[in-house]
Parts: sequence; C-alpha cells; structure tokens
Amino acid sequence: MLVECQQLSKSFGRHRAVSDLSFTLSDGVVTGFLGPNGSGKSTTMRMMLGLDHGEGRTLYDGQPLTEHPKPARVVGAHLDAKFFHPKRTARNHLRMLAAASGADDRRIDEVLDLVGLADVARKQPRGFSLGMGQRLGLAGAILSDPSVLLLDEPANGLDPQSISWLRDFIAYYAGEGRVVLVSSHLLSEMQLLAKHLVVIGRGQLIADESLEDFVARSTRNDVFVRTPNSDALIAALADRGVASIREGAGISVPGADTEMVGAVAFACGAELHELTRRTASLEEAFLEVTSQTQEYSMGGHHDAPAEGGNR
Amino acid sequence: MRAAFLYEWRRATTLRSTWWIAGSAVAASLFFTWVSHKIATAEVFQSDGATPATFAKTSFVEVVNSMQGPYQIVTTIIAAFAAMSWGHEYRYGLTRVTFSAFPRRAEIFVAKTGVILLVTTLMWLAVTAASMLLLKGVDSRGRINFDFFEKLNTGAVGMGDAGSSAVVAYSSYAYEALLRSLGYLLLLVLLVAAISALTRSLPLALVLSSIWPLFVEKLLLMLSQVVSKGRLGWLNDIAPFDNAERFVFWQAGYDRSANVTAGIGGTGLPSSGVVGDNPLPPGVEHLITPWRAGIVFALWAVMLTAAAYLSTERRDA
Repeated sequence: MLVECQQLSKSFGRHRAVSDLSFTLSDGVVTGFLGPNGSGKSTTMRMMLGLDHGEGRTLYDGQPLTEHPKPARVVGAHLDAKFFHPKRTARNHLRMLAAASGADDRRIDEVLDLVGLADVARKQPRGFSLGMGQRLGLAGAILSDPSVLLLDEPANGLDPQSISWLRDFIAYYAGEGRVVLVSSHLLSEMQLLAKHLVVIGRGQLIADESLEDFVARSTRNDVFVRTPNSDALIAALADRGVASIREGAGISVPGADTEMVGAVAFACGAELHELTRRTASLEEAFLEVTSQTQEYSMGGHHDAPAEGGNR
Repeated sequence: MRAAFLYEWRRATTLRSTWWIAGSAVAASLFFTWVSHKIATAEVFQSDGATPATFAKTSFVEVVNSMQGPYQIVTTIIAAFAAMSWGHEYRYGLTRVTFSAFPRRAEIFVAKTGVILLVTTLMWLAVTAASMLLLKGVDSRGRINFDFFEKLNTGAVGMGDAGSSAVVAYSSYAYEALLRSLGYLLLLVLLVAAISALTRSLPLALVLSSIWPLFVEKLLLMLSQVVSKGRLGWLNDIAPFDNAERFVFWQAGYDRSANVTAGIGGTGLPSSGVVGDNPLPPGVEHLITPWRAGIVFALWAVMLTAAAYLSTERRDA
C-alpha cells in the first residue's frame, strides 16, 4: 500500500492551517509525524481520512479512500482517546465498528485481549482512564486489520509499560508490511519508534526524510575534545577554516568528524584527553528546525530560537 | 449499504438510552390510555346515545390519543431517540470514528435515516399494541372489539356565526387514523433528526423539537396575526406543526378559523351539535383536508432532511 498526500491545504477563516503539503508514506515503515502545537498535524490526518474538507487529495494505492469498496479495511485511525459513547460497553463499541469491515466476534475478543482490555470488555468506558481510552481507540483502529494505520498521539496517558508495549506493537504492525503514521510529542519515544519522519510547521512541510538523515542535518552534531592545549588546537582548526567553541573544560567542533579533529590535534601536537563524536537527539534536531515555526510558544518568545536540551 | 445499516442498527441498539426511550414511551402511553379510558368511560356512559359501538369507537380514539398524550409526551419521548442518533455522535466525537469507517457519508446518512424510521416504527407498534392490549385487558365486559375498517368521527366544525347549530363532522377509517398517527411520528422524527444533524447539538435539538410545536410556533403565529391584523393568515397554511396538528387523528378536519359550535369532548369526538354527512360550504375545503396538512408537514421534514444531508456531506466532521 502506498499513501500519497498531494498538495493538501486547509484554512480556518483567515488562518492557513495546512499549506500545500505533500508527502508519501511507504509500507513496512513507521513514519513519525512531527510538528509543534498548532502546526496542522491533526488537521492533516483528518484530511487524509476525508473528515475535514480542503484542497488537495490523499490517494491510497492510487485511489481516494471513498473509491475503495471497504474503506475500513484500508485505513484504521485512532485520533482521540475519548471518541466513544461513555455508556456503550467497550465490546459493544467494537461490535459497532466491526460492522464496517465484517470483523467477527472472535476478532473482537482477540483485539480486546491484545490491547489488554479483555477484563473490562463488558464495562462502560465512562470510568476508563486516559490510557484505557487510548487502548480502546487503538483496538478500534486495528479491528479491521487495515493496511494503513493513522495514530494521533497514541501514547498520551499510557504508563511506561504500556508505552513499551505500544512501541513493540507499532513496530510489529509496520513490520507486517503495513503503513503506519504516528504523531507524538514524545520525541524520545519517536526516536526509538520511527524510521522515517514527516515534520511540519505552520502547516508547511519542513522535512520528509529518514530519521537518521534528519538528525544528521542538525548543527548540534559535533566533536567534543578535551585537551590541555586548547588554544593551540583552536588556532589550528581556525587555520583550516573550522569553527570551534569553548565548552566547559573542552572544545566543541560543530559539524566535524573525529578523524579530522584527531588529525589536526596530532599535527599541532595537542595532547588529547577526550575525543568524542556527539550526535544530536531527535528532540534537539526537532527543536532546531521548528524553532521558527512555532504557532504557539510559551513565554512570549514567538520568534526566539529554541534552546537545545541538556547534554 | 448493508454494512452501514448494520453499523447504525448496532449503534442504536447497544445504547441503553434507546431501550429506556422505548420503555418510557410504552409506559407513558399506557398511562395516558388508562386516563383517557377513565374519562371516556364516564362520558360514554353519561351520554344518551351510548352504545357498545360508541364504546368501541371511543377506544380507538383512546389508542391514538395515547400516542399524542397531553403535550405530545409520547411522541416527544420517541423523537428524543431521533435527536440522539446524530446528537450522540457529535457530542462524543463519534462522527469522526463513523466517517472514518464510512467515508462515503451518504451511506451512513441513508442508513441512519433508515434505522431511525425503522426503530420509530417498531416503537409505534409497541406503543399502539400496548394501548390496545391494555384496553382489552380492562374491558371486563368484553365490549371493545377493534375493527380497523370502522368509520370514526374524528372532529367537527361549525359553520356560520357563533352559536349556530350548523356543524360538519369529519370521519376517518380506524386504520387510516392509525396510519396517520404513524405517518406523523415518522415525519416528526425525520424533522428532529434533521435539526440534530444541522445544529450538531443534542440539547439544542431536544429543546427545539419540544418547545417549537408547543410554544414557539403558536406564539409566532399569534403575534403575526396581531401585528399584521390578519394579513399574514397564510402563515398558518405553511407552519409545520400547525399543519401537523391538522394531519393527526384527533385534529384531522378541525379548522382553526371556523366557529366551532360543537364541543369536542375529551375523547376527541363531537360531544354536541349535528353530526352528519353534510357537504362543506364552498371555499373552505382546503382548510380542512388532513392530507393537505400532512403534505405541508412532510415538505418541512423533507426540506430539513435535505439540508441536513448537505450539511453532513459538506461540513468538516
């Protein structure tokens, strides 16, 4: 299954929520969907499902969702942990959804068991915690065993064990040859989960590349050097046109590799006590690329570049 | 389409509120049937012309009246089901779940409308059957014999000046009267479901569908008459619930503008005056045709349903 989002655009009044957004999702890969609050992630997902109308289109294997005979078997979506009637039992909620795809009772029980809700299957979800609501939403999304899974913040409210389970499940699901798109603010989780990233800001595409490439582009990737001859090393690097910054007891050389810095140190006779390549985290790379595109920021620093995380 | 119907059927029947509504409608109907029966029994036995046939006819009136009840409580209860069909979806964000599973929204709109009409028909059958069974149960002397092809007096209109004894009575077959009560109910739930889909608000749909027929429309019509000094009389001819009242059984044939010299008893039957098959005076036939009133009400239901469909199709979920 190939999912193609083509020039999606959506405005709410004068506010442009999504602007000319195009990307492609491939099967067998978990794609992380990242963006600051209000960047248009949820709107994009709703447009992909045909819930929100706008410009552009989303094709599933070359066809709009409406042209597939059983759309429920093409896409399963979990957009919110509270999208259920509080007085309809969990099992009946899934029985209702099962009608869309023809899933039988055995599949319903299987899915309830899979997400860990078998014990509360006949209870009304009004007393469910946020985490249980997430599990019920996920159960509904995978009930029809769809080829495409869209998950909007599925880890919100989950305990560490559940997050670990969710991570394994999503990886397994994608590994079965399905398309999985996951939006999340838990960047450390995304770093463990996603292989590919679609990053948007103010409704526009910022990055559509592998997680590895996205992180590698960060200016926060550097080589950290500790030497008693720091002045000599800084001067030698500057002679080669390489910028370096003093950082505590050492020197940071952004964008460099250890081989080059080691060679320069050797050439200038600097004694090395530490030579470490430091790779930016996803969070640092994300904050760096989205610092100018935050729709809503704290403390009124709308246009201020975001600070990186602690090293 | 079959999947959409099954989805909607399960959606409706897996909620306790649907069963509570059905149970409440039957209970309320039984209560009003019993009260109506007590009143009718007293009236019929005090009347000079009381016969077993009158008693039987009265019972039919009771059955249909139980559906309307005071302030249309039974129909309002059933209409709440229709309001909830869309209202619950929007209230709990389920429209996004539903439209994700059925991106061709027309399918789910048709299925929802179909299930609303089906469940309403089943509720009507339950309410009607319960009322008839109750009357048969309390009729220890066995005088009630329901004949669906019996002709019933359904209302009376006096012609001429106040105090005139010229009265025209209108009649209807029992089955026709019953079907009209079903027709009214089906149109009402369509209209309420449409309001719910348009407003996307369950409370607003419930309030609007309750107070519009009871107060708002009557007040608007009254004010329009006062302000326009009668020039806006045609508003009565297009007002939805004013026409609906003339379509349903106990009001059928009853003309709001005529001088009624024959009193209408608690059973809906003319309690005095001349009852006969006199032809209507020229120029007033259109005012007192229940089917014409029914068509006006149906047009409202269809127009609002069409608007609800367009809204469902075009607005973001």
